[in-house]
Amino acid sequence: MFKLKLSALGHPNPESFNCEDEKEYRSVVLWLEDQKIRHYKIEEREGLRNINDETWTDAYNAYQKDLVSPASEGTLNEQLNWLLSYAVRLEYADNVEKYKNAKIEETKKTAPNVVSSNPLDNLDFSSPAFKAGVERVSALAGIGPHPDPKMRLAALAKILKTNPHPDPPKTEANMIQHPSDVLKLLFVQDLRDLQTKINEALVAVQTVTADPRTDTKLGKVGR
Amino acid sequence: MVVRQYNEELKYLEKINPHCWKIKKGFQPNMNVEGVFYVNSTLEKLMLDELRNACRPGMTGGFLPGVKQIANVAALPGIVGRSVGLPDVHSGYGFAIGNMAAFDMSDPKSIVSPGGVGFDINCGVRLLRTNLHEKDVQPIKEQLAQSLFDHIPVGVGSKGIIPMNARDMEEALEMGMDWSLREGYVWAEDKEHCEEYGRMLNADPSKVSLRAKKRGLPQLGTLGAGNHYAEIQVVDEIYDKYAAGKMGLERIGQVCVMIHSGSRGFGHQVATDALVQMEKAMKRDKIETNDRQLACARINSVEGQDYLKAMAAAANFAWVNRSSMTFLTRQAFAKQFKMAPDDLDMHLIYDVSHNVAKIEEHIVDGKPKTLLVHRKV
Amino acid sequence: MDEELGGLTEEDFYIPPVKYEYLDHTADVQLHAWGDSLKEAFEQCGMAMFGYMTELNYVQIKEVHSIEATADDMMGLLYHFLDELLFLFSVEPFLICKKLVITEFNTEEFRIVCKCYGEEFQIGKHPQGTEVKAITYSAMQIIDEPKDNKFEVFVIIDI
Repeated sequence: MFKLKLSALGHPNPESFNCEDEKEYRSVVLWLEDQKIRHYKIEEREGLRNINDETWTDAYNAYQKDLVSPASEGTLNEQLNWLLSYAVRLEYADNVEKYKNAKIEETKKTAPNVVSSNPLDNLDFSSPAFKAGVERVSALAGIGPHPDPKMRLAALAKILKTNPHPDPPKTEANMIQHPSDVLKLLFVQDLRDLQTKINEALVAVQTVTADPRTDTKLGKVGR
Repeated sequence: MVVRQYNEELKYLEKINPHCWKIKKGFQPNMNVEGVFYVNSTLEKLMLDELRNACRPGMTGGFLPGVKQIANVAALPGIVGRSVGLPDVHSGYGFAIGNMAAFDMSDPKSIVSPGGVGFDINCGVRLLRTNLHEKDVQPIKEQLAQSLFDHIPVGVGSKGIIPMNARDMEEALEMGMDWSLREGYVWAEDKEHCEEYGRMLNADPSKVSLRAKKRGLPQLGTLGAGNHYAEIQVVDEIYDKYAAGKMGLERIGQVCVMIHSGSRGFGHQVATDALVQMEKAMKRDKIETNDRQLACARINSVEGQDYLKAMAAAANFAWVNRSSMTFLTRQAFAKQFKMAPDDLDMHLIYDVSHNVAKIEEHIVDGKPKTLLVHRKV
Repeated sequence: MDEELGGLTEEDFYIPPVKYEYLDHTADVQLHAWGDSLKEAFEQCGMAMFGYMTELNYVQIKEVHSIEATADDMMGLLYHFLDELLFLFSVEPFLICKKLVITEFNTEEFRIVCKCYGEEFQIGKHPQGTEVKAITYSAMQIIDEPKDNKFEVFVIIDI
């Protein structure tokens, strides 16, 4: 976890970082503040520096509050994830010029060049013709907008697999069906919780009423 | 029955796509709606052969071909949409097997027909899963099968091993699977995985003859004969991983148990009793049908209402019956594997009925309608 | 109504000849029975039904029960006669019959009284044949032509 963001920020060992280890976790937080975020003055970082101390958690919570982190109520991993993202944003803001021209394709150079026999692999996904084509089928299938035409194509594939008629007739049946589906989706969890409670109540009553019996003497069994 | 040459008959049938045929009005007299049936090429041949045989000169009595039966059902008063033949369609008693038809509840002339439900009321199939693998079962499969036979009585003249008296019976008929639940034969969540939650609320045991109750009593928890079965099955192929996962079917080789049974002599007698009553009602209300086997009564008549209430009681009986066999299956497995049924994860995946008439809301010609839907498969 | 075994006379153990056959249909079976009178054809038809549920050779005559059926017409009478027999098998005394003797055959008021000879069905002793769900009127035929001495019945039973 967090490997990408850590290596982007230039952390010394992003590969081996284990977020479940309390000590490592704390050191990374300290490292982020020391090297990247620098929200506090150096002398104010004392609380975070005591990574072996029980008071560290309080310092950490205060730190998050000072940063106005939206993740401060979440799990430790969520909290760290936000800190990392925040650090990445700061890093980018500091060096806009440097990162502006960064291209994802750069990573490709290191990968071995695989020659594909599948003609689809050689499609130019960024060509206007491809985009226009995806736009057209998406409109037909009623797929919402997405900046990446490949995502829309993936969505279309999913729809075609589950529902071979992507163009539902706009009849009165649908006018009733759609709102009822929406209601169902909205309340399905509530219904589930209610049903679970009902089941629990039934099981409680069963302890009083249930007496399942069998009497093999009554039966006429056998092949 | 209209007698025509086979070639003449074929003019009334139209293949509208590779899997679907339309039966046009006029194929049988007084058709209110068209008929339709769904078949592949193999089934299509069987279906048309049935018709061709019936057209041979000198063919009297015996069975009406399924196509004719679908068309006769299309001539019943109050039918809406179409008279539908599903892929298992073949000649039956009154209605074809695999024949589905819905009747408009708001039309006072609409009918209910025991022939559209069948003799084995609420015959159905249920599937239980286990967390066992085929290789766990293979070494003791003989013993396991014997244990199932020892628990679930099979065949002619068999009697159940769940003790029941007349009062239990009355309660079971009214409560369906709720009775099984109260008595501890099923788990609370089983109900959720059962059509109608395993209980038809309009069941009225007082509308059921003593004869039916007497026939039903010793047969509770028995499988029956014919095409009924309790089978240990193994997952062979998973087509939809997501859906299968939701049902707790995770892997190839997983062991399941399928139970196919119905309401036994109880349902047979309810249907028999209703047919006798309805013959009288038809004479009184002057209901004309193309086939004497299509005994029916207006939904709102005393006979119609009594049948629906008795049928619901029979449906409840069938659910109690399948629930009892679920209990017995769990016991048999628990004994063989010396583990509690919940540790074996023996949950009910689903219980579906295939011989039943139900009141349902559907959209017909763009309008919501209350229909009585007959399903017989 | 029940008679003790001691009440049976030698004559009661006489087994009538078989005058019936099974005509198979797609999913059901048609019983075809005949005799020297319509009464005999009816008796044979009832025995045919029991013969479909087990092999009658294995059945002993141990008890006698009596049934009664009434109806509004001949077909109804045949239907109810068979339905009563099926009922006798389905509930106490669970009687499987080897022999039927109709003691009253009233074709004007459509009434039958019949003595049923057999024993309680026992799995293990009696081979399990096919379960009969119900009697049907489907393609039912009653041929009653005394001048040709032709008495036959056809009934389809739902199995």
